[in-house]
Amino acid sequence: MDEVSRTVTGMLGPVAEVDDVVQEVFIKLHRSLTSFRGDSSLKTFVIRMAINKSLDALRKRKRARWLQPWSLAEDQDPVSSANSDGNIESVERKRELRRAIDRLPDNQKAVIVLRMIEDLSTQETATALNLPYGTVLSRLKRGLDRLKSDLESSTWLD
Amino acid sequence: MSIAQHHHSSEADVPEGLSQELRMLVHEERDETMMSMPTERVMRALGASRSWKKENVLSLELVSWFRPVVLAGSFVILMLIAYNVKLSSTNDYDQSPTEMLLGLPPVTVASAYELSIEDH
Repeated sequence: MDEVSRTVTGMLGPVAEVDDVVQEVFIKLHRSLTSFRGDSSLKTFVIRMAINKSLDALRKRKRARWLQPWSLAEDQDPVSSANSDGNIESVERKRELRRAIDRLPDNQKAVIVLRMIEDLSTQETATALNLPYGTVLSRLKRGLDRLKSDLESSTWLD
Repeated sequence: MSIAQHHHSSEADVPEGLSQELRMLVHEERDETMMSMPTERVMRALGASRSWKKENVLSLELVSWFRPVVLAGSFVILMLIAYNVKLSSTNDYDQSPTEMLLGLPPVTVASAYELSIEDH
């Protein structure tokens, strides 16, 4: 449950649809457990579903945003509606970090979420995303470079 | 470098500080999003929608419908321009496609100023 909700939140951000997507993942898991052949671990199997469902939700969000008026599309900032406990610097730092993640292309974001947030190995990430090992490495490198360039003004980066 | 060494070095490519920040962020976001009380989630969703000005809802809805129309209209205009240009480049007459379509006689600078004496 934790892995799924973290993965989906990492991909989508703090939005209400996280609940729905997590629920959909478990419904799909329930339906497809009979087809699970054990080629990979159950964790990898579930995380792959979570990533696929999150990518579906992101695509739906893009389509919905395209049909929205410009002003509304610009106003939507999931982080601004999030709980703003803590000092201003900390809130601002989290906001920058979320914006940087959201700006990543979906395929790089999936690698960053699994590799850096879920702490999967490169091989596990490759299995979960059904990608070659080298592709995961290159997407991780590109994603990290992009994250760093977006956050370069922050001093807390290693 | 052996495959094992390469694998090990690539695993170490992830900056630990950034990873920890990301994990903390997602952990907090997840706790906020997956709150146990559904009413809180509903109130939060309502809070987001409350920021819209009610009087603008109709106009915003109209704008959202108009957006695809603008794109479709632009596309049709571009197609007509392209068709017109193609037709202009292929015909050998002195007339423009519009004149040909309307059946108008060819008008030149000379013919426009030519006096018809017979009518008077």
